[in-house]
Amino acid sequence: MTLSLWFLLIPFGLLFVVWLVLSSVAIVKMLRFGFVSRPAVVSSFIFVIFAVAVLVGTTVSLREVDWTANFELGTPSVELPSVNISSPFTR
Amino acid sequence: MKIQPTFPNMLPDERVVLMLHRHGFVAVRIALLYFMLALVPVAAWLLLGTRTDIFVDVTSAGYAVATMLLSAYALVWGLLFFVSWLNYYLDVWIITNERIINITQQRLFHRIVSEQKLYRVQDVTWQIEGVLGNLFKFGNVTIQTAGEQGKFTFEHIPDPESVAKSVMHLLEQIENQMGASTMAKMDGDLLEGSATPNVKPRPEPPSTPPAGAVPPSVKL
Repeated sequence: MTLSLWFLLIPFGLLFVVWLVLSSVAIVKMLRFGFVSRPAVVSSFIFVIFAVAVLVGTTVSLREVDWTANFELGTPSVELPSVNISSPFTR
Repeated sequence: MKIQPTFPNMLPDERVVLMLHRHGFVAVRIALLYFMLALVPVAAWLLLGTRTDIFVDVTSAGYAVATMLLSAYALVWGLLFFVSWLNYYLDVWIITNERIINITQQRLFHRIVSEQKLYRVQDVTWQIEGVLGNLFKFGNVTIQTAGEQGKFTFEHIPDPESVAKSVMHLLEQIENQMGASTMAKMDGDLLEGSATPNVKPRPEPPSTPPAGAVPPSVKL
């Protein structure tokens, strides 16, 4: 079964949407119930910086991928070494 | 100058005496777990980089899949780490000069807040158990109250002995303020099963008559 490579972006996009919603809720909770203290603000800031770094890194890494190319689903892309076993029963 | 900590819905004249989180050792333990989990994609990256040529051709499908998997892992890892930190940091026990507030953040969408007036405290127990508890001096303080909540347990808090002493000290102060007779009456009410004692928690001090006023006569 041949699929276009950009189909892979669909599950990644869905995961990203769920992640974005949960992250927003977590940050809002931290800032709302964290008594507006320094650890709450700093940890939220670090989380946002980390997330932005991961997303920018992913975007840069995937920039050169040819998304119009097709790939075979269900067949291994790694060529397994051929093994020649001579069985004593086939002699 | 020390800034007085505050929290929402503070009563007038209320003063925060203690604001407790779980011991830092608990946070370090969580962080260590997540740092170990962070090694998984690094190991995968190194393994795939050395054993296969998947990262050589940056236009290939294998490269795209590997990069997206690593990215998804990193995003989920970061979110779970942040939520674990949130669960740790938003678990708070606040002791003020009026009440005890127990805030438990169990999950991202599960938060329990319960409070009890200090004068309802009946019994305070502290305990340190285990090697790590004795080593890092953290443990539990259980406060038995007369309300519906029953008891509050401050879990894994640093120096439970001094926390228990502080609560007892606050109770003594309240006893002194309210007077022994009021406390005894409240004890009686509580023993009879009354949920809300029919006494004011803080009776007004007896008004002193103005200078020169004639005391009221008593009819015999």
